[in-house]
Amino acid sequence: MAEANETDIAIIGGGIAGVASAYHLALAGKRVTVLEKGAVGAQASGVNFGGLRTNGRAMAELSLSLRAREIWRKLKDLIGHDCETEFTGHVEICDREDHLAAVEKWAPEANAFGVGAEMLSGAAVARRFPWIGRRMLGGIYVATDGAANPRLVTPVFARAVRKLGVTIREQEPVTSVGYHNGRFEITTGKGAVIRSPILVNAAGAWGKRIAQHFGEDYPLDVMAPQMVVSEPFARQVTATVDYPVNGRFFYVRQISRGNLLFGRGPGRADLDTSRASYVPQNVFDASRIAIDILPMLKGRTFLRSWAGVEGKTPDSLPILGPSPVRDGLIHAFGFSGHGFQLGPATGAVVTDLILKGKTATDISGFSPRRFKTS
Amino acid sequence: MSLEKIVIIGSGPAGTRAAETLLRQGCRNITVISEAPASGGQIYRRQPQGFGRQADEIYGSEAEKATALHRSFDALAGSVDYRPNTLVWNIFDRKVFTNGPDGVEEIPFDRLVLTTGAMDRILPVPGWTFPGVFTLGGAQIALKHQACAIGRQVVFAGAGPLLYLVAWQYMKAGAHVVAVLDTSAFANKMAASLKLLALPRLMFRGLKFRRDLKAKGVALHEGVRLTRIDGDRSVTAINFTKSGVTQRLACDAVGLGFGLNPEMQIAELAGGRTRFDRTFRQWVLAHDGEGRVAEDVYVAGDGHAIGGADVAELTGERAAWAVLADLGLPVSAERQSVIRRALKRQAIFRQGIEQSFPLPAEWLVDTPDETILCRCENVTFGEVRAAITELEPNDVNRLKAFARPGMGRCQGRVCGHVLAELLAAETGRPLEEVGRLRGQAPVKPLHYKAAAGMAEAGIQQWLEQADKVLENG
Ligand SMILES: Cc1cc2nc3c(=O)[nH]c(=O)nc-3n(C[C@H](O)[C@H](O)[C@H](O)COP(=O)(O)OP(=O)(O)OC[C@H]3O[C@@H](n4cnc5c(N)ncnc54)[C@H](O)[C@@H]3O)c2cc1C
Ligand SMILES: Cc1cc2nc3c(=O)[nH]c(=O)nc-3n(C[C@H](O)[C@H](O)[C@H](O)COP(=O)(O)OP(=O)(O)OC[C@H]3O[C@@H](n4cnc5c(N)ncnc54)[C@H](O)[C@@H]3O)c2cc1C
Repeated sequence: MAEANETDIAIIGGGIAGVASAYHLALAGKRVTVLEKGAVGAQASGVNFGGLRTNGRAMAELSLSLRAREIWRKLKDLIGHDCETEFTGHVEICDREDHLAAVEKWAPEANAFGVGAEMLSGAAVARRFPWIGRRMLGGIYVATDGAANPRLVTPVFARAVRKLGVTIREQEPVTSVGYHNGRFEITTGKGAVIRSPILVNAAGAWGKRIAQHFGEDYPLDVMAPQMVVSEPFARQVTATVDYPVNGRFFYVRQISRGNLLFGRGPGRADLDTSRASYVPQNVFDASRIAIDILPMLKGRTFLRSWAGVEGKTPDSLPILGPSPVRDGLIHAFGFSGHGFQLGPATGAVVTDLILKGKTATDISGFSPRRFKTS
Repeated sequence: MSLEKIVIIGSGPAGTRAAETLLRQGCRNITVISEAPASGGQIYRRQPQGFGRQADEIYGSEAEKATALHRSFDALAGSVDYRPNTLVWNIFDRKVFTNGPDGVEEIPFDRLVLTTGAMDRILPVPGWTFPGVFTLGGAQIALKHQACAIGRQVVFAGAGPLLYLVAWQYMKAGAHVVAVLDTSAFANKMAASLKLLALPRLMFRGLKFRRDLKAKGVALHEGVRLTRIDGDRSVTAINFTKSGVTQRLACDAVGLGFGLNPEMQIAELAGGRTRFDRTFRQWVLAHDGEGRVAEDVYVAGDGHAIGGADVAELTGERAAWAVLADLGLPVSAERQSVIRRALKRQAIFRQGIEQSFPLPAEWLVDTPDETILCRCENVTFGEVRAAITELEPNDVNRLKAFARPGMGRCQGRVCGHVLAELLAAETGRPLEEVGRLRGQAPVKPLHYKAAAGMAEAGIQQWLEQADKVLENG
């Protein structure tokens, strides 16, 4: 039996991008329905590293990332829970001349946006982070970067959003989307049909599939960043560290209760099962790097490894903006491994676009039009 | 003959019979991996080198079976690649990942036979984390393996056949058993007696344990509710109610257990499907009736569904026949039908056991907020309840994500079922609907150093190169 539902704005995807969009739209008094095929924040948004860094981001992302930083700072006031957000700083460490040269070039440009990055000498890295067991040529540090607990953020956002009157339909996959008489018609796996004049595609790694309903074919790949978590021990690692080895980043932080979390991919992802699995070889490689730069890990054990399903674009920038072919359709997906930090501001930008048709945040680098889609 | 590589995990009754049958029927490329230092499994666990006790001292009425099983395994030596002291911590891409005396290794397989056994099922009782509280199985291991008791005045509490068995073994070994506190009422056993008669020997053995315990003056209380374990630095007493009356027994150790949970994580990682079994009130592996649980993956013993040692031997052999059939080697229809018939009787008996000792899960809703639910991560019932009401998790994996129970060293083996019971009870949903904690690798903690030993050469080269850069710079 088809049940009909009218709403002002429908959002496909209950990850951080979709739920944060619902939040800002609801604050502006809109009637919003979020459709999520599983549970809110159970995909990339719920299993990620939790890193909130502006450090090292592409110039094109900085405007959005800095807007996000402001929202993260106020998280508790906004959603009633701090979700373990902490601003303990983020350092990218360099032991290669070319890497150092790259960050030296990046720093002043980023600081023009207001990132507040600080260049560190090798000696300064050793002094500030004495627990790093390897000498470095230098590093770049952003004191205001931080981290949050991803397992809590999106579900807590969802709780706040529901209090604002938003309908979140979980366990309800969108199976088809059409457009009739100025309205989107969204059919779900439970047989419901939702009609709305505006539709937000926040379907993460599955965003390509939603766009295909409108004849738009984006070059979105799947990737699967992979994590390893240790047994808890007294906190020593006081900042988040990024360290590139053989062209791939190794990143690590220690949460306040003592577990050390590091990442190095890629794992394996499957869009059809919505599952990702970790690849053991990455755990071995990351462990080798880990005991080298964090000698404290030598006698320690890790408890678990996992990976998450994420969408990746060719330039690793999200697809964020109005659809080139269908009025009323806004895309916000493809965050390419670093969209958790951007999430709250993504929601604000989506809201700007819907309410005002424009945004003060520079999203020119994310235009869906940069790809040929038909 | 077959040269396909068959990897068997576990060297208990199930693993031993599987290996023996496969070898006898012509498989020539068998690897047996076990975390244990010696074969025998849980029940026929061997004593460490240098202990000179006789088999009947350790295994009692089961001495003959124990000796036979040990002999069978020893006869395999030289014909199978046997790796004791070796943990299997992951299955990925048709490879078994181990950690043993030589570090981490990857072992490819053509077929996999999983006989990983079971572990104690616990229900938290306020005070259950005091030193001096052991699982029933742990108490038994201390006695069998190390020849020492867990305390001077011991109370055994919980439900299940192991309760009386272990109490009896302690009594026989000369330990002071203060009482047996059985949470199941006598009426449950009466109601189950017809089913238990499917295996009269085992039923009468159980009755003998009770008789002997009583004769020695051990107090047997049935139909009790455990309310609290007292302690300061370690256990000092246990409190319970019976017919509305509260009693307190001084003791310095408690053996606590409510039956067993199958160890299924490895099977899950190998792609094995699970199903909820109403009789057992737990998840078991969903095999095809002969042990096939996924493509080229076979299961047997307590690791696929709790059945006890005899069932483990029978299903171990059954899984071997399934492998042989799939390899196109001859199978014995006669043995297969003997096994099938024996398992039928065992299954009826097993139902009787479950009916005799139902899990008193209904207690959990009343467990005080401050009681620890997950001891690895130190999460209380109150914290879990708060996550249930505030964030409305739809299943246990989500509840784990919100409040951390099951995230620690044991990967939720101990508290996973408690979490499910609590979530189901607090939200009024059937237990099978709230799911179970997914098996995740490594199934037991792994040293970074061991894992690092398998890193690809490129990582080492990068680090060495970096050292050079720094020397020059
Ligand atoms: C292991 C890992 C580590 C990471 N670390 C970081 C980090 O440290 N910092 C950082 O900033 N970023 C990080 N990221 C990236 C970040 O997690 C993602 O970019 C971000 O969460 C994307 O949010 P999203 O809402 O777009 O996607 P998702 O969280 O994937 O949400 C999309 C949702 O859409 C739903 N959906 C899809 N199709 C349908 C449909 N047809 N019907 C209904 N619902 C549908 C999905 O079920 C999903 O819940 C990491 C990612 C991973 C996997
Ligand atoms: C603590 C305890 C005490 C018990 N006592 C009795 C008793 O007294 N009487 C009785 O009838 N039943 C008892 N049982 C039940 C008992 O498990 C079975 O009767 C019988 O031992 C089951 O045989 P099995 O071969 O299925 O498993 P087990 O005998 O348990 O053998 C499993 C084997 O697999 C190995 N293993 C498991 N996981 C891994 C891994 N990841 N990597 C490598 N190796 C692995 C183990 O080390 C072990 O060698 C007990 C169970 C437990 C848990």
